[in-house]
Amino acid sequence: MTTAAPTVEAPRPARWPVFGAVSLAALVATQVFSFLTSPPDQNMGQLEKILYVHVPAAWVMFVCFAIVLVYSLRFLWKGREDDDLLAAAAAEVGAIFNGLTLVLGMIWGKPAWGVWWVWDARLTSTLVLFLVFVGYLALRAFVEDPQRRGQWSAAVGILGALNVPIVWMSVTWWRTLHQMPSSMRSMAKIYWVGMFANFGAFLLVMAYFIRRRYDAACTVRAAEHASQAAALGGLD
Amino acid sequence: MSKRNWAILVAVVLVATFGWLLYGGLDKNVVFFLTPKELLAKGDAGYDVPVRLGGLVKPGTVQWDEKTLHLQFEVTDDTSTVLVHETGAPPQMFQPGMGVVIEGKYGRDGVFEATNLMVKHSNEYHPPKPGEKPEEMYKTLIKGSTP
Amino acid sequence: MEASNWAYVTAAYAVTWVLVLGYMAYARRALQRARAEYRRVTGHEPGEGDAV
Repeated sequence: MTTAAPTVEAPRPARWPVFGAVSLAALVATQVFSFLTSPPDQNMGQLEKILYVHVPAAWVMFVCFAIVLVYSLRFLWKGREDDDLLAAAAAEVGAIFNGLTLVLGMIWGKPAWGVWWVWDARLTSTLVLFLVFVGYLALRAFVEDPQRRGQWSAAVGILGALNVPIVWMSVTWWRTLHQMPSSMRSMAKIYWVGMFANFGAFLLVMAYFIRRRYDAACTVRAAEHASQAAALGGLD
Repeated sequence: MSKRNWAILVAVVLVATFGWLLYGGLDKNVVFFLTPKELLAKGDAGYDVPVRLGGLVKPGTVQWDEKTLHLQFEVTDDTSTVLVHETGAPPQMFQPGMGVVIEGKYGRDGVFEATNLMVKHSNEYHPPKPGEKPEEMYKTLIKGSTP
Repeated sequence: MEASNWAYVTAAYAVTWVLVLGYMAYARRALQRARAEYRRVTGHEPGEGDAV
């Protein structure tokens, strides 16, 4: 029996905690900025403030699942384990932001619509997306062999990511309670600026999360490789 | 790329294509609510069955009795109009000209009896025009429309 | 109707920050555990050459 050379190395502790602190500071800054600069909306009143967390959370979740798509395909193509681990990290972070999007949407829906939840196309497809990626994460716990786990995960991850355009377009394709995406024309500039500033900060937080989860996964796998190698070496 | 991975990719593409075709087949049938025009077009089939009706609250038609909690207004899609009655307080963002989605049944007496009333927002976000304070606008949301 | 929507806004931001800080702490702990296990198995720090 031969051991394959490990494709995963334990990453050296780097300056990522600094990056994390910076991204948190950016999030505080953009939130303070949008709170101070945005006037209450003519219909929504102060509820407009939820815009700066709900919408960036949704966009960041899309970005995460796009990363899952790219690295799942790359894993199937090259078979490198670290691509699978990165896709899994992005899937977990994406699921976190997906859940946040749903909860924030409910908190917004109650005062704005009068209901916490409805089964319209946007809300239902977003929930389906969430369940697919919860399933993705559960699946990984059940498959032991790393290659098999990567292959199954890649299949589910790609299918899950293909839901993203459906979620995005759902309000355009179907008649829903959820409104259509706002544009620069339908939204006063100050809201637009605040939304994108907060999206930027959310992206930093997302990058930090994915990197930390990926580092942890790589370290765990490298330790497993090392202990397997030690066990085999002991037989000689 | 291994044979197995190719097989997985092909399977994924097949399932995805199938799924997209399914979604495409749903197309316009996935409507969360009917417009007044569509409800009236159903004729007899539109009466006494639970449906959702959506449109704009026609300005000048809202009658709200705070004591008996009777709310009455007309929903319009510009071509057709349906009279809606509900017992209970409207959602806070309910106001004339606003989008609404109403759950309930359309009675043969021509009144849509609502069991649930939801407000549908547009994708417009604008601060109030000069001179309008949002707090004042809230106060006029309901009362301003009472005749 | 009275406009007392600050409670919803506060709840939204509270949920966001609890999740962000909570997940950050979870990720940090998981990474520390992984590094401790790595040190135990290999006898050296992560990143100091694991090539077999």
